[in-house]
Order: sequence, then C-alpha cells, then structure tokens
Amino acid sequence: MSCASTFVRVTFAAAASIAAAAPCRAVETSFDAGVEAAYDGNVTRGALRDDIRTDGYVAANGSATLRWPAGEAEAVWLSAGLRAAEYLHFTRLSFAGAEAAAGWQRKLGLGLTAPWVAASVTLAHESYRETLRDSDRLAFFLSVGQRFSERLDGSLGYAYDRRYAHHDDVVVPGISGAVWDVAGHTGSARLGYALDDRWQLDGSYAYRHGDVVATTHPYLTIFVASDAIGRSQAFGPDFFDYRLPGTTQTGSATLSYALGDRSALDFTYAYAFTRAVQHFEYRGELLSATWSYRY
Amino acid sequence: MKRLSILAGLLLGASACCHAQTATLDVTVRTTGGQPIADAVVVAVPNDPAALSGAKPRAEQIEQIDKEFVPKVRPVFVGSTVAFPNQDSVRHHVYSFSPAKRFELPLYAGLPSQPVLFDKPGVVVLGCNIHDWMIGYVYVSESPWFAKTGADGKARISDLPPRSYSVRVWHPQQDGAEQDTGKPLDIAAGQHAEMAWTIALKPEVRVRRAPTGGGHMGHY
Repeated sequence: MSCASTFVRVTFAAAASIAAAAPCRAVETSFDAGVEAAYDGNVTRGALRDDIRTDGYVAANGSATLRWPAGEAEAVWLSAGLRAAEYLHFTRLSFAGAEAAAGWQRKLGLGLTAPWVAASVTLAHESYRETLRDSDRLAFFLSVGQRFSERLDGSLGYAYDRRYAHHDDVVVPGISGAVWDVAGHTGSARLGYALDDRWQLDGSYAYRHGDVVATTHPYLTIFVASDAIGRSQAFGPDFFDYRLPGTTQTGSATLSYALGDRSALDFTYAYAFTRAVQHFEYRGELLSATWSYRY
Repeated sequence: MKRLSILAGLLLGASACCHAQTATLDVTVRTTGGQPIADAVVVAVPNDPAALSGAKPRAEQIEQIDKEFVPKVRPVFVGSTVAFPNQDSVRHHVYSFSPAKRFELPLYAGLPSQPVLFDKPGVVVLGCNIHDWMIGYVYVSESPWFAKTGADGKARISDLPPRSYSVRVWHPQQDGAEQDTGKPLDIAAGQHAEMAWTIALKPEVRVRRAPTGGGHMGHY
C-alpha cells in the first residue's frame, strides 16, 4: 500500500509539475461522454443455477482530459471524470463514482505504424446503494501497441488493480468482513480491425489472477474456500458475498459503428470464466450497447 | 475619357483574343454507383513534352484546422512549394514517407520557417505523428494543367492550349492505377470539351473516430 500510494503521488506530482512548468505549451483538451445499456448474465458471479441472477443496467460517464506534449513523440495527460450506473432489478448494485487518472505515452518512431508504449494510474471512488460495496480503487496500467496497417492494430497490456473496501462488517467471527477488499494482476491482448470507414471490430482476451467475489447462498465448500465473507444487501437476506483467490479469463468482441468523427456506437459481447480454489467455477456473459462521444 | 475607353476596349480585345487561343475542359467524376466524387484530381498531360517549357511553379499551402489537413487534397505543379500553417491551438508533427517527397516538420505551432519544395511528380501522402487519423495528399503534377473536383464531382481546366493531351484522373481511394484512367483529348482553340470518368473507390479506413468502449472494470 505504501509503495503504491508513493507511486501514485509521484505520478500525479510529475504530471502536475509538467503541466505547471509548461503553461505556454499547447495543451490539448478533450471531453468524453458515454451512455451504456447492458445485460449481465451472472450478476451474482454464482456457480450454481440456484445462485445465478441476471440483471440489466444503464450507465453514464463523462470525463475531461488535458494532454501536454513532452517531446517530439511523447505526452503526459491528466483526466478527471464521473460515472454512475443504475441497475434495473437489483437496485442496490447501483453506484456513482468519481475517477482521476494520470498517464504517459510515447511513440517509438515516426509514422502511423510506429509502436507505442503507455503507462497510467487511475484512482476512483465508488459509492454504492449497498454500502458494503463502497470502495476506492487504484489501478496501474502498462501497455505497448502498434498499428500494423491502416486497418489492423493491436496492443498488449498489464494491469494491477486494487480495491479498498470502506466497510469491514464481520459476519463470521475470525473471518474478515471486508469482502470487497480485492486485488489482482491482469495480462491482456487486443486486436482491432477496421472493416470499412464506419465499422470496426475489436477482440480482446484478458487473464486475471487475484481475488474474486461470488455472491451465493451459504454452503460449506465456498465457506471453507473463502477468506472474507459479507452479508449481501443487494440480493436478499439468504445471500452472502464470498471472497476467493482465483483466475478469471475474459474474451470479448466489440463491433463499433462510427456515427461521425466524434461519436460511435459499440456493441460488446464478453464472456468470463472464473476458476477459484476448491474447484469453484463460475461463468458470466455481458452484452452491452454503448454510445460514446469525444470532443 | 475617350482615350480611357479605347484603352479598355483594347484590353478587353486582348483578353478575348487570349481566351480564343485556349480551350476549356469540363470534367465529371462519379463512382460506379453514380455518386459525384469530390477531391479527384484531373490532369491534362500534353503529348508533346516541349509544351511544358515555360510553365511556372507556384507557392501553395495546406493548413491544419481542427486536427485535419485543409484541403485534404492539394494538386500542385512540380517545383511548387507548399507551406503548412498550423491554425490549431495544439501542435502538429507533419511527415511523409512517400517516394515523391520524404520530409518531416517536427512538432510545431504556427507557421514552419520554410515551406516544403515538391520537385518530383507523384503522390505525397501526409500524416501527423501526434494525431494518427490526420491524412492529406499533395498531388505533384508533371503538367501545369490540372483541376480538382468539388462536391458535385465537377472540375474545370481553363486556359488549355490547343493541342493533344492524355487526360488522367487520380483519387486517394481509387481502386486501380491512375495510368489506367488515361483518355486522349485533341482540343482546338476556343473549344469547350467535356469528359467523364466513372471510378471505383476503396473504403477510407483511416478516419477520426470516438474511442471504443472502455471495458468493465471490476466485474470479477
């Protein structure tokens, strides 16, 4: 934690220093907004049929980004934004959050096909209607990528995510109640292909190793395997949240339609498979439609 | 007053005389689906290369406005210079890897100190190393007689000296070689000729677009 917070402070301080030291340099400002409607096929992350619940949500986000050139092919950026989601049935999953991020990117050469590297750190606060889920998030991202042609581009990424739960309501004495206190390491790969001037297809795969949280009816196997337990407010009194170590593999495909040069409609299908200790496995599907706008 | 009228009459006569010694070519360029094509360059190349002597290059410019090259296509006569004034509040890094002209204008704001000389015929593709979607074209013509189509797909080459030409069409998304579009034109003084092309276009995939969805953080 101390190492992470030091890194965050250093990153934000560096970005702020560059911003302050270069007031006359041309700063590039952009604003992003998005609205998403989604269906989550396993919102509980349950393994058994009896535990699986489905729901839909609508979400909105907006952010502003300042980008400073730091060299011929280098830039640093700062962004701040808000986001919120409203679930249709399990309304206690609804949340509102604020996010700040700082990043650096560098192009390793001249031209469209020059590879690039990027690093960023994100800090977020999320406030849920189910207060047990209230948390702060911290994430580091490292990525390298390249455009191979006008149609095809790809990238590889690594991310470390850490979620700090605000509440530690002990349900079982001797076992942590901070079930939403989770961390994980993720490696990912992405390929994008422009089908024509409007349509683009993106495919990605991610492998995450870290903590996962399943919400189920209580039973012995998951009770033994979990290292934190919380009482779920979102799914009813019979449900408990269990934190387990595990791996999650996620594959997703996004078909994006450009409505113009500033907005796009994205249709995403994601499939996630989680394998946790004690052979506990769950699968989930997510379908979403997102309208995004950048100015 | 009378002298002034005579002078004006002489000037008008001289102008009419010069126009009578040249010809006009109107061109229409459409897609195979019948849609007008903008930004197509039409070039009339005289069959006698000696006819090119005496033609003078010009100083042109391509601006950067709202992170786009304006105009996107600029035809110039070989030997012309092009300035790249940046009208945006952000800096650009203009470059080209095209065999007809390799150059780089490192990160700059305002007007670069020197315009770029285009001294070899061919197509020069422009890019910006900061904004990858930015793309522009300098068509360096071997002939001084050229024009670019507007949104209606029409272009006019005026003051065409009467002689034989090969007329070609080029467009950035053209599906096929420019040389294959060549058509002969034998034009007489004072003549008004019309020509039409139908060309197939490839889709333009290097476009500015909003980023695709930002993932679903926290769904584990």
